[in-house]
Amino acid sequence: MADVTDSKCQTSQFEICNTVCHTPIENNSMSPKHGIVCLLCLLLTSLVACQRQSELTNGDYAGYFDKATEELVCFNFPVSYDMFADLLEVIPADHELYYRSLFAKATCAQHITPPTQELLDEATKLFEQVASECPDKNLAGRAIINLGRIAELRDYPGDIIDLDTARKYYQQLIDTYPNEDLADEAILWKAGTYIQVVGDKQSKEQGVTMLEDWLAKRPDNAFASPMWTYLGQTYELELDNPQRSLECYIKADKIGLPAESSISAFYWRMAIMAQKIPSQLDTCVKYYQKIIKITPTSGRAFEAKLALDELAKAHPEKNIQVPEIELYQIGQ
Amino acid sequence: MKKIPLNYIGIVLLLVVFGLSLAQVLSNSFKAGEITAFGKGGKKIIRIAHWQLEPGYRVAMNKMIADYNALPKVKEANIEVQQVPVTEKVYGQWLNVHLMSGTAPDICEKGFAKMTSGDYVARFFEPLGDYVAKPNPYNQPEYLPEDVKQEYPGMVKLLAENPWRETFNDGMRGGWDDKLQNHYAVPTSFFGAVRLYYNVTLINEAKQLIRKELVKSSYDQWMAYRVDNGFIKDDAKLKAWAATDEPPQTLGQLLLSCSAIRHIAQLRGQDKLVPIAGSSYSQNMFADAYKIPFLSEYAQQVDMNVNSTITALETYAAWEAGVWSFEDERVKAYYKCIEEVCKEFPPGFLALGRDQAINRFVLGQAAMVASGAWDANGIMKGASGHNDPSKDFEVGIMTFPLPAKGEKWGEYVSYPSNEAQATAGAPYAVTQRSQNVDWAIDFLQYMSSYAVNQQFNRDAGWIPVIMGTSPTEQMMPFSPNPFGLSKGAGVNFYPGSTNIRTIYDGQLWLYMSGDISYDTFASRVVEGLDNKQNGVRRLWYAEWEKTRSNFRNDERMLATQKIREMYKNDPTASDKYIRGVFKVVAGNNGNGIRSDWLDIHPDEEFPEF
Repeated sequence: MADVTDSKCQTSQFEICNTVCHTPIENNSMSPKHGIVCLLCLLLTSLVACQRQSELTNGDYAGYFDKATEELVCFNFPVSYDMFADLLEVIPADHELYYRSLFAKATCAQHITPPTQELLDEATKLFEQVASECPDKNLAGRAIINLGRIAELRDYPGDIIDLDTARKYYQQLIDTYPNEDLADEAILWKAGTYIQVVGDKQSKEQGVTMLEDWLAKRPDNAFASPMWTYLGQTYELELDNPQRSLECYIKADKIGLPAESSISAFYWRMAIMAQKIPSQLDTCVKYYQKIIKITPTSGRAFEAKLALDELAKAHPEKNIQVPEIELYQIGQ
Repeated sequence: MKKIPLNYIGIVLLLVVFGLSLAQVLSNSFKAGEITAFGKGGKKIIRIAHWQLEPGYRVAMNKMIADYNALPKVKEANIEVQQVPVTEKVYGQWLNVHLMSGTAPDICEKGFAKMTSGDYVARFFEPLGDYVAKPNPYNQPEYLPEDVKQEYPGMVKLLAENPWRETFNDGMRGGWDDKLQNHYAVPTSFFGAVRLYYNVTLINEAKQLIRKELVKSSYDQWMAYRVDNGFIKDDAKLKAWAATDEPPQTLGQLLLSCSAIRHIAQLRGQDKLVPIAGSSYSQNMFADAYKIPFLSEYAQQVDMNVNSTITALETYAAWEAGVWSFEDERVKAYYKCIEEVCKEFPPGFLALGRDQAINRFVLGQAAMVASGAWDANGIMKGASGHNDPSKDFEVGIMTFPLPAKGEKWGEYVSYPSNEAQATAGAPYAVTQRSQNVDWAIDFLQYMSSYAVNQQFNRDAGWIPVIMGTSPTEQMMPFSPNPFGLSKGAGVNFYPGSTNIRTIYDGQLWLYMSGDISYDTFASRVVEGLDNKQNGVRRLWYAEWEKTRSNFRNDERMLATQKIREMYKNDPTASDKYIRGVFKVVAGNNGNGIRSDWLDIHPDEEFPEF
């Protein structure tokens, strides 16, 4: 192991010298000025590289892995990428952290900014390796989802959005793990590839049907709330079906809406929609009341109160309750 | 004599400067006690940086820091907190540089710097999710005042047992990062709502003049202008108001008071006395205060995706769709209203800044000035601290008055906008590179505990943020008003990209300063909006690009949450990931914008640039 480390250190130094001075070390024509700059560079890179390498030569893969992971979760993708690359050079392929490192390096390559075709190609290659070789099905499945995301998104200028390939990856997961969270997530992404198609009602309906069928099969899946909310949004904004939209939103609300910080916006749109459907008066009242009671600081409480006042006047037989706005006041 | 090579002079200079810098750093550290002559036993210095240079804030901060440094456990640990105030003019650049070089203070006020937003937050600052879920140790009963313990046992229990985040009046929303789904800062003060400060003496003098005028058979020109042009109704309500010491309650009364002030200035030959100390800083405060009351009627049709937030694209898309236009009487009324208010500002007000406006007010050369609670302390002290005590005056605070029914534009206004969404500000974050993260968080817990937060904000003349706390009496008028229309009801004329903003801003300023008429303003803005290259078409494209890019960035958040879940067994990550997936998938890769385009322009291709 020591030999590997030493040779890497030397290689790095030589490469840096070449890059900075544009002159090989052996070149006798190098001026003293260049020499000083090269020497400083050598010193700095040696320090950094050898510090990293010394951790790895100690065999503390787990410690180094944790540090690289920490950089990743702090969005420090380039640093994390280099660290995982270092780790992968020395860690044996049968080590428990090997595929996890491979996956993490691929994740970094996928998200380094600015994204480039080379980085995305590398991410694709690494994810494919994890997907095909890794014995951990969660990691392998996650790699397939990421391959789908790479195909679906425009990662860099000129990148081609390939919805068909993305759908194939998502479907691969659905077929492989039909009863697991991975498939629930995959069906949501897959439906999204149909719903997002602009001006194609048939495609949107295809996505909607896909989600509704899945929810009928696995109503309690981990992604049920996002699915119902997404359906509600699609029926409301894309398919002009407020009645069905409201039903979907209500189902999502029963589970817990997936957008905690904008929950009042959902309550507001539900109340507004329900107000336009005569048979949904109770729903309308319920959501205006929720705005006042649950989200008084959303800014919509006053308008909800005005709406409830009007509804109470128009429907005295319903005995509609108009809650008071209980908002924090300075000094109280 | 041998010539010294010039190249070596550079190297020598570099080494000398490096040596001097090193000496300075060592000297500062030595003075602060961070290092000692023997290199051991030095203090651990926790530095807290902020840009709040308003009068009172630094003094209050010093007092609080001294109290903290005197705590036995702090002394025992050889910890010392020091504040680093930096002017807001350079705070952003200063912090960016220090964050990148790894030399940022332990605690930084979060704002101004690019590195305190977006993904950078996760890279440079400590997530506080685990800390805010536990009670604040400085809210335990032994730290609470005796009267609070006796009178409010329920609150004592709440403060002691509730998670730290739930002891804030805004639920600590001011420290929440919605994109990263975690708390990254601790808010410490409420900025409060924007209000109109008024000189009680001058307003009373104006009202005396109005009272005298009201008993005349025919009004002087200044009064007749307001009555004859319908700005105010000459009725019993006006007389009743004039008989009291109340400040203006309606826009008509405000404008009439302004006319009276101008008349006073004329009678006294006080050239510098103006009704309102307007400036480029406060011009938008009036425009914002009147926007929602005048234009909320359009909100439901303009908010295309019904998310209770109106973007500039939605505003101009609605303009394209004919929902509103610059020819609408309602829209004209809104602009004419602001124009009329701006006429009461000093000449050339757009060249004046915030400090100049406040100075003019405290010198008694303006009857009113618009600003927030953050200027209250400075204004109050300035008004009562003249070298010549006879020039001191009492300061009153009022909300922006709206046109009443029967007054000019009264038919266009229903309710004011509310301030229910006010969140706590002055948020402080802990840098990841800090060598003393736990102590930095301990200090923030101390700063945001019931007793300390209340005292600190009272000393600074600001508004505390912890449940049950109260500010000084003078800050009470800044309490957020929950009654009125939501911010979601306000159209948005300011797109962040394209040159529409430049055109709109430029022409609006020319119009407000009286250089061009409304018709010229409107026609120039419309010309800008219609421009094929840089108008609304470009805005559609730019917003689509931006939205796509934002959703792509959200993928990074998803990746990190998944790694947190899989590699770090973070129990909260799974839920955050699911919420993130919804956000991304529901964004339809930004194609919602293209669908909206198709709705408004069914026969036109989406613009590409």
